[in-house]
Amino acid sequence: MRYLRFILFAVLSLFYFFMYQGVLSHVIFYHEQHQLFLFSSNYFQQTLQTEGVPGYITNFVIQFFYIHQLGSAILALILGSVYLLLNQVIRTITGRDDLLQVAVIPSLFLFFYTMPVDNSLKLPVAVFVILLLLNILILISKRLFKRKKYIHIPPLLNNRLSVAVTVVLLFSYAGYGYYHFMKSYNVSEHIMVKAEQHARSGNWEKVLEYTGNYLGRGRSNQLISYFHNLALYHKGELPYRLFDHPQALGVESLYFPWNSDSRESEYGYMLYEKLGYINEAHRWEFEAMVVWGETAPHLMNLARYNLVNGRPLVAQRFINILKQSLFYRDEATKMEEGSDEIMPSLPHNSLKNVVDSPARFANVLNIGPELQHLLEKDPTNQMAFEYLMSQLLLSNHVERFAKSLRYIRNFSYTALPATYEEALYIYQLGVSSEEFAEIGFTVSDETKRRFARYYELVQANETDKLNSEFGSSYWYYLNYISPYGNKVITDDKKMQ
Amino acid sequence: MKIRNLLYLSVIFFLFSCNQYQAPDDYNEQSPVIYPDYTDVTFPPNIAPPNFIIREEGDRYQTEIGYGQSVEMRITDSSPTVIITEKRWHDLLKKAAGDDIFFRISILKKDQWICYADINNSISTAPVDPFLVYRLLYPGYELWNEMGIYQRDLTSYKEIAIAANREFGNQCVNCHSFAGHSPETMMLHIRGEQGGTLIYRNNKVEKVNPKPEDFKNGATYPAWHPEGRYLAYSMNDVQQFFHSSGQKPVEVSDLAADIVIYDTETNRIFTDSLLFTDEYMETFPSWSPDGKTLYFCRADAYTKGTSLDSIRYDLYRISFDAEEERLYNLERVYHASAIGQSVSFPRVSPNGRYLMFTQFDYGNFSIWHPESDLYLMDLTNGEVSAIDEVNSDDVDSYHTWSSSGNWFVFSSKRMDGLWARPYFASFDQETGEVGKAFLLPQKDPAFYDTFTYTFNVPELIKSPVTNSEQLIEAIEKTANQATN
Repeated sequence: MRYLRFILFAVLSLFYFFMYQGVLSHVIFYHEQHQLFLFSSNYFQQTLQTEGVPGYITNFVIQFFYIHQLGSAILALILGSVYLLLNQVIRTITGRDDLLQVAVIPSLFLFFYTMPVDNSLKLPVAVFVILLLLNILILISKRLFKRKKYIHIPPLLNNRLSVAVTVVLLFSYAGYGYYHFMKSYNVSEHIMVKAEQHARSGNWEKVLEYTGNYLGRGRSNQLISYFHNLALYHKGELPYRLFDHPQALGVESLYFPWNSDSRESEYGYMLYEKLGYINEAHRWEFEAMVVWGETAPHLMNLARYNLVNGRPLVAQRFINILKQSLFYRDEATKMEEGSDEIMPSLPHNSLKNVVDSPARFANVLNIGPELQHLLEKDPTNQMAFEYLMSQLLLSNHVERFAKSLRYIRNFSYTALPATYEEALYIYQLGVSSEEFAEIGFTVSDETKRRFARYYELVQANETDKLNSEFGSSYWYYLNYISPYGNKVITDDKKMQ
Repeated sequence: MKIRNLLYLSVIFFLFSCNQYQAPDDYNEQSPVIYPDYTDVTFPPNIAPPNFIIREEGDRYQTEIGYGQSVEMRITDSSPTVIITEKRWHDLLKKAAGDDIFFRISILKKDQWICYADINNSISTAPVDPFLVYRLLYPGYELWNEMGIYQRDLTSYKEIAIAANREFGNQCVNCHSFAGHSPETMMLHIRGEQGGTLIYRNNKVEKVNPKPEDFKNGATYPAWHPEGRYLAYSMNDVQQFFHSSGQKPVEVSDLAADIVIYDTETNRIFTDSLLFTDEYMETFPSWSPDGKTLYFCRADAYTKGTSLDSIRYDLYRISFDAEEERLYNLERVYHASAIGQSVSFPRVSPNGRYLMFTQFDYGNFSIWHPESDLYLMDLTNGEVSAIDEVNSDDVDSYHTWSSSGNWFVFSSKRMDGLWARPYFASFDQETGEVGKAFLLPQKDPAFYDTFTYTFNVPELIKSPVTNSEQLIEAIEKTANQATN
């Protein structure tokens, strides 16, 4: 019993550490990406004014989350210390061991409190700081007044019973903790944040792993689909696997139409950056910075976009801020110096030398015209091509799809992807042979044979077989999944 | 005691040696580069110290500041940042008013003190209005978070919030406007759940909605009539459009705009078919100092398919009879569209002789147009000229005269192209002569390097706004809807 509190402190801290390294690893990443501590007097004054001392200390702590293991260890130790420090307070006040181990409860509560990423870490950090100060005060008062305890509580149980009560209670806390954790753990949040983390670092294999896991359960989420399709493109699989999972969101699984939504504002930049559409990437990122604050990802991206868009003085402002941080200073300095290490990683500006006359403005609600524009200005922009094709397929625009297919000749596909051929066959069935011939592509016999089989199953209303044999086909999407109905949209009947 | 004395002596010796005059070993005929650029400018006699950074390499820096033959202060440091003591600066301004001052900089390089050519600035005898009111916000697009209207004491570095939106649920606050440069009669708009227009007059705040129910667009850009009863408003349908390519990020354009006059005493609006038309868009109203003329900008109405870069505004004026509440005699003052240009923000000087405006390629939201420059029209003969003394290669836009007319402040993005900062310049009302522009001084001269908020709508006022609590309390009120 003598060392129980230290053992419990160690057990709790280790438990927390492994949780933050594993199933809660997204918490560490999320907080680090949403705070940027600066070593500057302006930051100090501004943070004190808006967030107070606890906010300043919390932000100071969070900066170390940049190193994931260190962040997990710090947060675990803070939560573990809440137990140890509170236990010490109880011991000092009562002069006895904490028989009920009640100090475990706030530590566990704060741990659970950190699980949703939207909860600020200010509370656990503030509790830790208050308990630390309380312990220091108690230590000082003990030295000054030579008091061993403040409340006299007579021994209620003998040693054996005490041990038994403590053990039973600890198991109860652990049991309830397990139950509460399982009940409140948000696996979707974990997947979304992890997918974002890997997408930012370009680890597309991992993105597919997370998003595939989510979509494979038959669930639908715009952000997950957005990352999934981005990953498919980067793995060279978008035309082949676009319909592997039901695209129930239609075109919105590809991009975020601008809804002035602060949450969505964080993600839109990624697609536009990869497309080389820097002005739109910049706009999304700037909107995100306005809402979410001057955090490292936003500042880094804004600096990068301004550098590639020939606005180095604007980039410099963002670099200046990053240089005041501990972990982004080096990268910012490299960017400032135009280091060979950084410059090649700057995004490509597909519209760099484009001068629009009359002025051309982005369609922020419908990405279709933007993809078309990108492709017209740079017919070798493969991502714009694949996204345009996907957008036309997902929006039931089979006619436009067929007419835009000509761009495929700029790329080195060995054959028409099956999905494209499926859509092309739909087009062929709806137009005269002369009209179809103008498109300049043919549909293979194999696709025609597969369509015959598909049609047969539709006629027989064999839904299970249809799903298992053709669930990943464009025909199935068009007939059963598309949110725009099961009819092809032609140019006479335009969407949006 | 001996040790303590020794310590005192060491400190005194250290301080003395820090500011000890360093005689030059050599001279450089060039002036050193300083940032911000406070060279050859005219300062008002009540401005805060223009702290600066010496942009020259060196081991130590000695800055002497004085006038005539007199060195009034000496600052020696290993840092190139020159922080001028407020009290000593103001003492110097008193002595040197109407005279030139110098910044004499010597730099220690390789054990040699090199004295550079003096940087000379003038001190005017005419003070500038001591408070500058501006909105601070990110130069963003549609979303906003923290923003606020602040007032800066120009005689020091003190900045106080008039209406910081964290006090009222992060709603948007904009278009602060004052009658006769006085905080006794002012207004500002709140946009959001508790939207409305706060009007402060006769020591009380009223919350109104100057848009009558049957009007399509809300009251947007205001202009107080000099007598403080009427507010001219343009009612705009403002939309944002984002350039696909190039360095210009956004175009803020009107799709419709008309001008009305709001009577603060009767909560009623009136207008005239000359100002409220389907054929044209009328915006940016601005009164002449006598209140008898309303200036504004006008362009052909937007119709579907109109290319935004073909919309150009001309400068117009219309006579106003306050007694009869009548608008009449519409007149085009400057046909900017005829030369392929567009104008915004007409502002008549307090003596009524000059009209300053912004000219640029197209549209009306000049703050996003790098080619925007300030122009001056002599109303006695209609001559128009660019104010080359203050214009830069980037945006030079929103401007306001001081109450005396001896100064004006304007927004410029010359530092980097994205953030607007307030610049001041002297103005001679007799000759129309303009001094070189200088940046609003900050205590930390590197302030602008990391400050990512833009200074929006700089307005000079004669005394501070003291009713900020009253204004914020009024936000919760229900707005009284105007009638027509």
